[in-house]
Amino acid sequence: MFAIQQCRPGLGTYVEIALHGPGPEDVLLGASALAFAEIERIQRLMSFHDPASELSRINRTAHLEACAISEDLATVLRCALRLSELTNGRFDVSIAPELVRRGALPEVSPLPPKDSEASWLDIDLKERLVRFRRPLQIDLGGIAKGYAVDRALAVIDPEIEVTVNAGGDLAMRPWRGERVQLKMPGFWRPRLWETAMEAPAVATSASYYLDGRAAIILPHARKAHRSHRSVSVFAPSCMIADALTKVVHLMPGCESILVQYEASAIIGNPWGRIERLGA
Amino acid sequence: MKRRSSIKSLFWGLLSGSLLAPRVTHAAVYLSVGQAQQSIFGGAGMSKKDITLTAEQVRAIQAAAGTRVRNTRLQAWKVSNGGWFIVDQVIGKHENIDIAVGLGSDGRVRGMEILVYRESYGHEVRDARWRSQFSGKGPGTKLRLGKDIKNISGATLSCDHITTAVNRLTQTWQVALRHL
Repeated sequence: MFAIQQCRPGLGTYVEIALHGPGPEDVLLGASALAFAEIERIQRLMSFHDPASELSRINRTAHLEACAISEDLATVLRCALRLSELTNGRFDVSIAPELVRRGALPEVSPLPPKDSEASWLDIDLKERLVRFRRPLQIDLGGIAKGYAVDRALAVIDPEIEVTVNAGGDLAMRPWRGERVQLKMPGFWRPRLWETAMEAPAVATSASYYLDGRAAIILPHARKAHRSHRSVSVFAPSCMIADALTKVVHLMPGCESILVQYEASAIIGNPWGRIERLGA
Repeated sequence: MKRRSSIKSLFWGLLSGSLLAPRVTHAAVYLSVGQAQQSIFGGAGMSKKDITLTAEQVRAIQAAAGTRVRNTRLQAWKVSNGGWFIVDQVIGKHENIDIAVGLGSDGRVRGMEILVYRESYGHEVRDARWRSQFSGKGPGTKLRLGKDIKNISGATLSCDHITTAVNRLTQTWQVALRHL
């Protein structure tokens, strides 16, 4: 058996791909190259920063006419809108202008002026056609990274054991019996806490890493979410795990949503207290 | 006597617990230099070149890249297709990263790999089991997925330092390697 562990910058963080399989080594390097290429493809589609991305195109024009979009973007949007519905708008991908204003996202010009009343309710998605009822801008930062990790796993030969980790959005195959280290807040530096994998994917998010540039926003109040907690969510897919970390941060009493997605959460605070939710 | 030895052990315990342990870093080892060459340039032949930047070249690179040049001695290979393969170090506030960058014959980035990533953590590194997983894992050692190197799920780390370093290396090509 052969193993390689490869790391490249991507998705605004470091993407780590570890493969273990019958080899030889160039077969594993080839499989890894395919996975990195798939991640780059998703990034090109869903980047808020890149004016040429499919996402930027709909942000510019979907309020004027219905736009045909890729199956990938439709999948992520469908999942995001379903979560907005379940959380009554606490999870809302139309929060981008607030992130731009706070410096967590760059200003990508030219974007249409945003209607201050606009929200996820104004996003109309039918199959692969999307239309905005008011001018608005979508940012998929809270969900697309997890989707990219899922896609990377999907293009790798099922014979090969794989772990993909994009800055804490992590998925593995096989996953049963594997262990994972979760980054937890500490007073001086983050601590690591080891636990068993509870599902094929896990994602961790915390607002305290961002040097005050809060990237989690309370949609109703348009205020930054300040918390010393770190949230890790185990779920059947990394897209769901990634998105649900924000739901757990923003929505007290979200246990029924976790159960619905067959997900579970581990919440840590700097005092070392661990709380478990769901499953 | 007994009391003195217990005071002594308490002193050393506190010293090692509070001062020494938090300095230990987490190092993740990825591709070896040979694997990175294969990953970026396939099977293309390459030969190592001994290149030391002159003070004038260092000034030119620093001016163009807007960043400091720490190593004047390059770890560079000339590729048979006219490109270059360079191994370099990026030193950040909490991390220290070995990178490999492949440049085409036109000086454009063909690919990049992170070879070793060292990051400081808090006191969890006191755990001997955690530390021992990295000892002796040099480049080229076969790592068992999920067995040798632990998987860490944590919040996003910025890779701004890498971008600066890659920019510095493309300027190095412009100033020093382009006509070699």
